[in-house]
Formats: sequence, structure tokens, C-alpha cells
Amino acid sequence: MNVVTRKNLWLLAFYMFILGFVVIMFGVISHVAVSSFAKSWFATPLPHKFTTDWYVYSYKTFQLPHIMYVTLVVAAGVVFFGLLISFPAAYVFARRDFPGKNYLMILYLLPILVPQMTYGIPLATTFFKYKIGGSIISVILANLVPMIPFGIFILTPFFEQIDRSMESSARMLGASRLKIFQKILLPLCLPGILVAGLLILVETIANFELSFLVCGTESQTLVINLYYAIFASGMRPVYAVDAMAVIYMVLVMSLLLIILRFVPPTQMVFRLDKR
Amino acid sequence: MLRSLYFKLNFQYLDRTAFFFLLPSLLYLILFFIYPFIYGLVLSLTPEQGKPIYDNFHIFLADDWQRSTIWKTTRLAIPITLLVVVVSIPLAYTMRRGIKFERIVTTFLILPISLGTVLIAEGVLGFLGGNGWFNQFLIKIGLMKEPLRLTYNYIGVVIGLFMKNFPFCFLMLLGYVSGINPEIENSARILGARPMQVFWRIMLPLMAPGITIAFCLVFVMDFAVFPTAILLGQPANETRTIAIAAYQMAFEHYDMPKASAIAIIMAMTQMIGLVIILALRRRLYRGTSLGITKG
Amino acid sequence: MERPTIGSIEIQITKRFGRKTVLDNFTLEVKGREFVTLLGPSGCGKTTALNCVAGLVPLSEGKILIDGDRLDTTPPEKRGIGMVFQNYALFPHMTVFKNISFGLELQKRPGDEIKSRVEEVLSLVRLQGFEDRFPGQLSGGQQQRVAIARALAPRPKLLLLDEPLSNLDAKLRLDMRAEIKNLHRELGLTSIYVTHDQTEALSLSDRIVVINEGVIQQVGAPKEIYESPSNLFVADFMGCENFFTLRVKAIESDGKTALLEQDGFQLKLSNIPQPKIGDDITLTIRPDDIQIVHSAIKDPSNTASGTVSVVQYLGKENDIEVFLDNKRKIRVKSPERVEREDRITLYFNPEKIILVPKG
Repeated sequence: MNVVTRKNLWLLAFYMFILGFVVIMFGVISHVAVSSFAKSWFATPLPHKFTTDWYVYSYKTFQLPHIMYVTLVVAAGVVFFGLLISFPAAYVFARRDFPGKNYLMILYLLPILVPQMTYGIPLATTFFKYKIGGSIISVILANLVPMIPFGIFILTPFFEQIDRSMESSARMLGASRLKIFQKILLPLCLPGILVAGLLILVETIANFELSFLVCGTESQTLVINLYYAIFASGMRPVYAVDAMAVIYMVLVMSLLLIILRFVPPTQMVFRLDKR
Repeated sequence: MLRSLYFKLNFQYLDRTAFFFLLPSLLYLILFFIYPFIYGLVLSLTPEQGKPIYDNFHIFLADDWQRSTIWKTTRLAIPITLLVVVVSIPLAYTMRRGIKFERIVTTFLILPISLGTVLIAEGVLGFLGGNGWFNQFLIKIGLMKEPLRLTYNYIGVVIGLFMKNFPFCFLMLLGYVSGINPEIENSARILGARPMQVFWRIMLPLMAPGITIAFCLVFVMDFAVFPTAILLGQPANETRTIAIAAYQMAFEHYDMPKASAIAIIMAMTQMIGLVIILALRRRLYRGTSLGITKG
Repeated sequence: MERPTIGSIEIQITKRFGRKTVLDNFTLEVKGREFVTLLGPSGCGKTTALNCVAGLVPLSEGKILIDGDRLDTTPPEKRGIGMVFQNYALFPHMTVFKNISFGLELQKRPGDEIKSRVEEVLSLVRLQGFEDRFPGQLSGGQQQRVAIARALAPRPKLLLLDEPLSNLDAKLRLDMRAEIKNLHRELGLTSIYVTHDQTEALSLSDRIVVINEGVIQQVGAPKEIYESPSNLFVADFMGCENFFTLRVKAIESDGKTALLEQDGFQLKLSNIPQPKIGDDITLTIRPDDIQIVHSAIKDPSNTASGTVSVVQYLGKENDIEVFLDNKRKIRVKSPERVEREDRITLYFNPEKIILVPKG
């Protein structure tokens, strides 16, 4: 078998696998979607009757407006404070070299690498001890723990791209540090801020473990509610649960559409070459 | 005089600006990451009245049913990680120089990562459930007479985790292997190596660091598996992971000291797992380079 | 508005990075309107010295004075110094106009004054009409000229240039060199220039400061540095090759002419100060100053014979490597046609031989 044929076979196998995976993924997602519109559905390829009642049902029983409000507030809070805190830190990482920088980087990597269950439980315990557990604030605070380092690691390369001599030349022309920030740095790293903000947004909305551990009944995000709904699916019709799932899916996918405008998909995964 | 001092101070290694810029994030991590960790550690070493200091750990490890969570978790984490990494390597390798539809493929693969574990769980429950499309299809074409039990068991968790881990691992490895200078491969080919030889002798060793990192990350993620194990598995028994044990102790029994002990045991077993993986990698790597000199 | 001309700049810099001392009591005085070049190989400390004068890097020890006033205690943005960077450092998100007006806006100048000043400097660098372009739309040479215009616009009292021509291709470099020389002549602005290219230094400067490993090797006018290098490093850096160390074997009756010899190589020189028998003298001669001789010479001293080993055609001359009979290799540049394996005789004109002082 010559080289070209073998290479083509590999490509074929590759595409088939990817295709299979994508097909299953589609199946998984659309099953949820179809089910949410089904009046009732059991062991047939498609439900016999369709309805949108379940959306109304889940709107009422799951208190969707409140959940959306919580999700929005948490997301906005994490994005805003996450960017605010990680922005200056990223600047320092990009611009300065100091003894112990590597150790500091490892510290900042920990909340991303250590699984959220592991540090989430002590974190939740601390929050409940100091009586802030169960509130929206605690959900925001908990999500910020991994998102601040996350933001730093996304923003740092953007700063590194801005040549140091640009700041030096602005200084020689008479600009104070504040003016340099205002007129040079900020405009030049706006794309980076956008990328970081969007990625933090997606990660926060999809976050389960941390939000789950620290939330209370009034501060559950969409995902948490979905979880409880599935968990207690004996008590709720699966179609209603799927309706809520669809709402969540639509939210995430519309965000993805926006993000993919600005960020290539490979950059959304934790970059190995950064280490 | 004072101005010159001020100016000098401004430029020491970690000058004032840098210090204030780092402070918020550093403080935040110390307050909300390191402190809870230490607090948890102290709690775990706080036994009930009159018991020895390591009692919380002892209780967990002595209880068969609790201790078995370690094994159950490992039994989930290792095979899934192996499966995901072993499948990802050839796929990422094939795509290393870019393929047609690259953008579309990577976009589709981002979807399960962004949607998250909970949604995937719900979808899998429906799609691969007893009455879902997958089983309907198998029965319809006559491959099976009865639906396959793919959910609420070990297999369910494997599938659920695979759906999320595979794209993650694949994209990570793809990024890594794309970064390897293509000229290395070209020079090997010109020197007479066949594609398979190039892969085993040149590219795979070069990918080894990336593969190790991917393996460790996926392993760590899977070891801490929680919602998938509950929703898609059998949390009462077969897929009762150590995360579940920790959670139950904290939020069902409200026994924080014991829960912290379990969380610490979880962290330590993860660490041991990582050490073993890294040690194995060292052995494996030496073996590969031996192969090169022998050949 | 008149720009004040400075009288003199006193520079005294000691700079350490951690344990490493990059500049050790680097002392220099620059007179007003002078064009001084800091010349040296990479890593010799010339850019560090420039950055210290700019204030981008603080001094470990020392001081910088302009007309007697302390400069090193002021932050860089208040020093009134213009600087041109190696990679131009233009602000990519601003137009040419905005780039140039940046410094003027920070000086809070009124709008029409800014506009007329920008036009003024743009015509100085011959880029009128480019106001609304963005740096990304300009060629390398154009970007460099905008960078110069930007530095000049706020009427600085001192201009610093950090290897501004290194990123340009050869032809452009020559053109820009002429422009910089022209600008200096027109404006008379005190300038300190940093480069590793000795041709640039020779053509542009009033004075050259040759630096190696943080220590000043020689300071002087271009002619002085080129014709009378004060030590081996300067001679080597300025393009001298063919270094010899010969020993004084005899001194003639006039007390000045010395006969030097080593390995069968004989030279008769009259310009050695106080020659003594037994002295080891290091000297060099430039490849272009060595003559190829054909007829017999009366005085065999100052000649040597050998075989041609490599000939490179350079256009207006040939780069010839000769393997001398005394086993030394010599490089000669000559328009004469020779071939490999030819036997030739070379004459070393004693007036062209450069003495290299020790130390």
C-alpha cells in the first residue's frame, strides 16, 4: 500500500471518527430540544404531538425570571470584577521579571488546575461559617477564584504584544503613567479585554461545582437549577426539564456565536504552550 | 534628595506600580483560596472530643464503604483518561498541518466543552437512554433485541465524561502538536524515515511533554467527577466517587471536619496519582529513546 | 518659539543590574549642538547609557547635569528629551498626525499651534501629506521619519537616537543617514546617537565614544579614531585587520628608525616613540593600504612574499587572502587581478602602518 493511500485511509478514519462524534453530539443536543416540544414521547422516533406548553410550565414552576436574573447578576459580577482585578496583574506579568515570578505563576495556576470540588468544599465551609454562604455574593466570590487567574493568563499575552518601547516613547514625549495607560495601553489591549471578558462569561455561566457548593435557594444559577431538576426528575416531567435545558443551550450557544467571531476555537481551551 | 530617593525606590525589582497592580489578585487568592484551604486543613485535623488528631481521616479510611470510593473513583478516572488521550493522539496528529473544514470541526468540538457537564448529562440520558434514539435505532436495524443499558451505570459516566474530555484533550494536543516545527518532520522524511517511523521515533517523543500535561489535566478533572457521576451513573453504589462522599458529608450530614478530611484525602490521592503518572512517563520515555538508539 | 540651546551635558553613570556592573563610572561631557555617537558591540552598555540619560533606567550611582542642573532626579516625562527608538515605536492606533502631535498635546499647546508645528516637522522629514495615514500603511523608512518628526515636534533640548537605522535595508540606511546628517546641520540640536556600525559613526558624528564592556576605550573625532586607534579593541572594531606583534631588533643611528622583526618578517618604522631594543610593538595595517609589488625592491624590509589562497571579487576591488612564507595570513584589498596559487610580493608602506598602543 503506497504512502498516499495509507495517508488517505488515516484521513478517512479521522473524519469518520469526528463525524461519529459530531453525530452523537447532535443526537444528544437535539434529543433534548425535541423532547422539550413534545406533548408526550415514548419509544418512538419522534413524538406524536408537539406543544410549547412545557416552556410555559417550566417558566412558572422553575421561576425562570428569577433564575435568569441570578445568572445574569453572577455573570456580570464575575466578568466585571474578574477583569478589573486581573487586568493590572496581567500587566505586571507581561512587563516585569522579578525573583519568584515563576512561583507566583504556579500559585495563580492552582485554582485552574486543582479541581473545583477539592477547594470548593473548604471554600463553601468558610463562606457558611462567615454567614455569607448561600447568597449571590458568595457565588460571585467563589467563581472569581478560578476566573481571576484565568483572566490573567488570557490577558498577559495581549500585553506582551504591546512593545515596551511604545510606553517608553510615550514617556519621553511627556506622558505620565496615567496618560500612557489612558491613551496607549487601554486602546491597544481592548481586543484582549473583550476576549477575556467573553471567555470568563462563558465559563461562569457554565460553572457547576463552585456555584453549586456555595449557593443557597435564592442564588441558584441556571445550571444549578437544571441539575436539581434532572436530579428530581421523578417529580417533574422530563419535557419541562428539557425545556429549561433548551433555554440554557440557547443562551450558551448564542454567546458562543459572538465569541467565535473574535476568538478561534483553539484559543478557548487551556493553552499548553503557555507553560 | 528626597525626590531622588523616591525615584530610586520606584525602580527596584518590584517597583511600586507593580506591587499595587499585583496586590488585588494576590490578596484575593490568599483570602479566598489559600485561607479556606488552610481552614479546611485545620478542620480536618479537628476531631471529636477526646479522639486523636487524625481521627477524621481514620474514620473515612476505616469505613469500607467510604474507602471504596477511592477505588471507584480511580476505576473511573484512569480508563477514561487513557481512552481519551489514546484516541486524541492520532487524531490530533493527523490534523497537525491543518485540514479542510478545520474551523467547522473545532467549532463543533467546542460545543460540548462550553455546554458543560450538566447539559451533556441530560442529553445523554435522553439520547442513549432505554427509549432514546440510539437504542431505537439499534433495535430498528435489528442489531439488538433489547435496549443497551447505557445510562445510570458506569458506562453512562464514561460516555458523559468522554463527551466533554475528548474535545478538550484533542484541542489541547492539537495546539501542542501544531507548534512542533514541521521542518523536523520534513528532515526525518528526507533522511528516509517512513511516516510510521517518523511518528513513533520522532513526533511522539516530541509530543511527550504535551501528552503528559494533557493526561494529568484530564486525570485530575475526571478524578474530581461529581455531577456526571450522580446524574448519569449510580451514585449510591457503583459510581460513588470520592467527591460525592465529600459532598454528602458536608451538606447532608453537615459534618465539616469529616468532609474536609475527605476533601484532603481526595486531593492527596490525586497528587499520588499524578506522581505515579509522571514516574511512569519517565520510564516510558527512556524506553522510547532506547528504541531509537537500538534501531 | 525658540528652542533653548544647551551649553553642555555632564554625564557620569555607574549602572549595575544585580551583581553585574554594566557601566563603571562612565564619564562623558557633551557640548551643546554636538553630535556624539556611542559606538560599540552588542552588550557593551551603550544603549544602557542612553536609557540612563533618557531616564528610562535609573542610575545606580552618578549624576547627569544639563548646564549644571540635575537631570537624573527628574522622571523621564519631564526631562524635555526627544528619543528615537530602534523599532520606531509609533502608536499603531493613531494617525501620523496624532502620533506627532502627541507630545505637543501633552504640553497643552493650542490647536492651531499644534497643527502648524506638525506641518513644520513633517516638511522637515519630507513627509508632507502623510498626516492621515496610519503607521501600518507606511514603509520602514517612512515610519522612521515619522518617529524622528514625533521626537522633534515638542522642541526637545536634546535628541537621543537608539540604533534608528538597524531595521532598514542597506540602500535606505544610506539615504536616512544623509537625512539625519542634514537635520542635524539644519537644526543644530544636541544629539547622542547609539550604533554598532562604525561607518554610521564615522559619517554622522562630531565625536565618537568607543565603548567595550561598559568602559570607554577612546573618545575623539572620527578622523582620530579611524587613523589613530588608541588600543587593540578600537583598531579591531574600526575595521583594522592584519595585526602583528614584532620585536625591536635594532635602532639606527638617527635614534628614531627602528628595525623590527618576527618570524622572518621585517619592518622599518620611524614613528615609534622612544624605541628600545627588545620592545614588543603591536601594529596593524588596513587591507587597502597594502600594495602588491611587481618589480624588485631595493630595501627588502617592509616587504613580504607569499601565495594567494583565496580571491573574492568585490566589484571595484578584490578581497585577497595571502598565505605568507612565514606562515602568516594576510588580507589585502586591491583592484589588481590575481589568481589562486599566484606568488606575489606585498609592500607595507611605513606611513600607513598604525601603531596600536598597549592597554
